This record gives sequence, structure tokens and C-alpha cells, in this order.
Amino acid sequence: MAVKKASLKEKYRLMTRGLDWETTYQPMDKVFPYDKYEGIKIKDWDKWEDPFRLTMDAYWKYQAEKERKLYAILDSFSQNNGQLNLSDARYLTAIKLWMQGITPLEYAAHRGFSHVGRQFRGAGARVACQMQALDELRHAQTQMHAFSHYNKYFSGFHQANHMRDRAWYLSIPKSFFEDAMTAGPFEFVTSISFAFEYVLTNLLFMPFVSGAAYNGDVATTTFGFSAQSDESRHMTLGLEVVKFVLEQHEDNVPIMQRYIDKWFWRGYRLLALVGTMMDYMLPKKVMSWAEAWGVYWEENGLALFNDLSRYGIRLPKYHEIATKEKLHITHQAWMVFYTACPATAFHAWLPQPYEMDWLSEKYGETFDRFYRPRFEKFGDLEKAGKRFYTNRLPLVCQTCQIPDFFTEVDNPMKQAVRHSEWRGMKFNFCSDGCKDIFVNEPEKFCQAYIPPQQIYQGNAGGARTLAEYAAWLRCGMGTESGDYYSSDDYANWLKWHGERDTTPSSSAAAQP
Amino acid sequence: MGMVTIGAYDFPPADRIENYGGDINLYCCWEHHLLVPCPAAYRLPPDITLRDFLEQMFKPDHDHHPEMKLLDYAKLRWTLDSKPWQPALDKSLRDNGVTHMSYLSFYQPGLDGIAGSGV
Repeated sequence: MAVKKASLKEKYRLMTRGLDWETTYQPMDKVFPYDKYEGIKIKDWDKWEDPFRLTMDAYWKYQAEKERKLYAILDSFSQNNGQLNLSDARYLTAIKLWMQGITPLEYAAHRGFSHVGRQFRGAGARVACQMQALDELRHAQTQMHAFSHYNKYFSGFHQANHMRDRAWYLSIPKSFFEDAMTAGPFEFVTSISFAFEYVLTNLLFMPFVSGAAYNGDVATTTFGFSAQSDESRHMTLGLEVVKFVLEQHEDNVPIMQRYIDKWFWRGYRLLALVGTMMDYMLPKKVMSWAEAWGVYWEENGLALFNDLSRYGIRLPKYHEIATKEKLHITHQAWMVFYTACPATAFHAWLPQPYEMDWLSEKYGETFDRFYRPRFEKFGDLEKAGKRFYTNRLPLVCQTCQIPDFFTEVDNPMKQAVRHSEWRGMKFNFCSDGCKDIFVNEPEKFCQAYIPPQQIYQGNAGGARTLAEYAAWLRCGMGTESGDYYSSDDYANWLKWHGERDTTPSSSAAAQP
Repeated sequence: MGMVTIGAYDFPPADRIENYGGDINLYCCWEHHLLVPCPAAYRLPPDITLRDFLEQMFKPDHDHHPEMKLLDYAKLRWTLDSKPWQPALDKSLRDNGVTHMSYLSFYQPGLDGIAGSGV
């Protein structure tokens, strides 16, 4: 008896939508209790287009093949002491920030997509979310494996989980994802799949992976290639979600617009940290944050929203503020890291002369007028043996949780801060964008875990100062924390390369 | 617009004043002096005078700044929550109307930081 094999298309239909059914013992609304309360109206889930017709068996096959290649290269990297071929050990500050800040987000994304992969009543959307959930879990694991080699030689890689629930700078990415995961399923996919993975993803992926390639980090570059085909699937899901929802019902447009406004701004704020990496942490530069913003937002992003205008979607609120801020935020953020690095599990430093020149070239008068004087002042203090560290906790935005280093767009000398009152209590923000998000959902954001407030309430092991707080983080000056040029990482790097310390600032990098 | 939720959703603010043991949380910023790159947060008893706060806490945080010695209390232009404000230096924070999570800032005309760069 001849067995008839199904065509690919037929197989896909049978193994995804063919597995779905209308429930009869229980009403569908009880089986899928979360996909209506946001007010999004779906008339016909069958209109969902599956951009990648991937079945589960094919998925396992592709991923297994990628894993084999990845781990072969990671083994070779490790056996050949690949860490010695990095451009400079300073580069690893970027990878430490990735390990501590981004890898846990991959895991959070796994949880989030597992949840919505259960909650949508359309089988096409469920399957896409299920596969993305598995991708994200794989990315969390392969990143840890790729970075684990560095843990043998450098400080700051060994306690990402401990840090994640405690460190002030990690509450920024953590709270971003917790906000998304506690929203409804449509808001979750709009935030993560559309705003972050579709609109802003190039700004995240390009600097990390190209940065790794430029700086001799074969392990991370190989991870990047291994994740690339997954990422393109995620991006396509992001666009499909938005188009599908907008085409289903006109009442969905204002809800989606609010989600897009909120998550564009939240994603943009989170990327301030990535921009800082591009401009300050990579010893060999790829492109500046301002250039990346120009290409990936001002060209590609605006073109995308031009396409979306036929659905009645306009550009995200405050996008023009983000564009004006592109000349400032990375320098301002690096000031925070430079002054607060006794309480970070990575090192910071003054830019070297060639980097100051590069920043002048990329940022022109903005850098020379407003930021070069700060670095020069800090350099003078270092030379005098008084390396400046702050010992005071900062004002942190109630929404994005970034220490408020932002200035007014029309006056970079003036501190930007916004205020709101809710139920008789005052709240403070870094921007109109973050204030608007709070005002829409004060019930949610009033519960935010803001690190300085938690410290002052006694919830950080009783710490009151930055130094006591660092001890609670298990961060030690010279090992995990403090200036790079007074760190073990730097001393080891010189030793392994048979070099002497020739950096003028290094000998003066005193303890706080 | 209220939050859209699946059920009752009502939780107290994480930073309510009851969690501060009688103290308040206060923010303070010296405008055009961004060497300390963010406004600073303080936990303080509300009956400390504004002058004591400035002398004992705020000024030591900025003692590395060359313009600190030029600071003249009589010339400061103050704001409270970004609105113009006339405080009495020798009155307590409470009597000055400063409450939990208030944001104070001051600017002294002429002091615009190192090389007039706002730092």
C-alpha cells in the first residue's frame, strides 16, 4: 500500500491550524480568558498570515544544525585562548552588560512568549509565539555558553542572577520586560515583537554583533550569526501582529497607537544604554549612536511609519525628541557609569585621546562644548589622585528607571525633570514620554521597584550609601567594580600580553 | 484614562511615606552643574532646616567643584517641583512646604559651570 506524503504546505496546515478546534465542554471565552479584555477586536483569526511556514519537526532540525556549528566554534575559541585576541579587555564591559542585562531579557522573553503562545485563540499566532518562546530560551542558553569562557579570566560574569534582582542599572531592562509581561497579550506582542524587535532591533543587534566582530570577539559574533535567522522570524512576526490587528477592526487603531507610543518611548530609553556601548565601551568603534539613529530610525523607521499611515497609525509620540537627543544621551549616560562604577559589575574609564578625537569628529560642537570639559575636569582630578566617584544616590525616573541624567532638548545645560501627582503622592520622571506612560497607568507604575528608594527604605541590606550598596551587590573595587585602569582585568591583560602600564591616568586612579 | 485590567487592581505605592520611618525622600539639583550627572536623592527628617541640609549634606557632595566657593545663598533662584519658589533658609523643610518626593533646584545667575559648559 503506497503511503501518500503530504506537500509542505499541506503538512504545515495539518500540523498547525489542523491541530486547533472549537471547544465544546467549556466556552472559548473561558478557555482563552485574556485575549479580549484589552478591547482589541478580532473578527477572523484565520486571516492571520504565517510569514514563516515552519513546522515543529523542521524547527528542531534547523536549530540542531545551528547548535552544532555554534558549539564547534565556541570549543575552538576556547581551546585557542580566543580571549587574548580581543581588541582590548575594556571591550568586555559591553559583554558584561549584555550578560547581566540582555541575557536575562532573553529568558524573560521566553516566559512572555510562552504565556501569550497559550493565550491567543488563533492557532497561527499561537504557533508563531511558541516557536519564538523556544528561540528565546535557546538564545539565553547559548549566550551564557558563549560568554562562559570569559568567566574563567575576567571579573563580573559570575553572578548575573544575583545582580539582576539588585543592581540599579539592571532594574532598567528588568522593569521594561516586567511591564510588558504583566500587560495583556496584544500589548505584549506589540511591545516586544513590534516596537522592540521590529522597529528598534537593528539598534540593538547591529552594535552588539558588529561590535563583537570588530573587536575580535569570535564567540559573540558566532552567537550573533546563530541567532540571525531567528531574529528575522521575530521581526516578521512583529510586523504581522500589527498589520493583522489593524486590519481586523477600526476600533483597534487607537489602542494600538497607544501601545506603539508607549513602547517606542520605552524601547528608545532602554537603547540609551546600547548607544553608550557603541560610543564608549567598544575600543574599536563601529559607528556612532547618532549615525545609527540616523540610519535605523530617521531613514528606516520613518519609512515604516509612512507605510503604516494607511492604517491610520501616525508616528510615535515624541519621536522628534528622541532624534534631538541623539547628540547627547550617550555622553550623559557614560558620565553616570564613570562616576557610579563602584556600584556596577563592570568597569568604566575616561575615553583615551584617540576616542576623544573620534567623539569630536562624530558629535562636533556638541561634544567639544558640553562633554569634553567634563572629561578634562575628571582627567585633572585623576592626575591629582582624586578619581571622582559619586557617593550619593540619584533621582531615578519612575517609569523607565534610568537615573535622570537627561537634559532639556533646547538647553543641554539644564536638567530635565517632570512631575506628576497621583492620590496625593508626588512622582518624578525624566521626560514627557515617561510621564505620559505613568499618567495612563499610575496604578501599575506606582508599584515600581526604584533602587534608590528601596535602598533608603532599608531594603538593600540596610545600605544607605553607594559603597554599602556595592557590598550588598557583592561588588568589590578593583575586581568587579571601579575604574578599569585600577582593575584586576587591566593588570591581567597587561601581564598576559607582556606589557607595562603606559596609561597616564592609571596610576592616579585612586579608591573613593 | 484608567488602566484596563482583568479584575480589581489596587496596590499601594511602593515608596509611600509610611515606609520612611518619619523621614521624607527629597531630590535636589544645582542647575548648570552636571559634574554630578543626576539630581541627588536624600532621606531626611522633615524638620531639618533648609540651611542645615545645604551645609551638611548638599555642599559636601559638590566640594570638588571650583564654583562651590562662589555660591551665595542670597543670590539663588529656587524652584520647588520646577515652579518658582521662595524658601526661608532657616525654616524647616516642612515649614517651607517641602513634602515627600519633592524636587528642589536652585540656580545662581553667573554660575554656569566649568568653561560655561553647564558642568
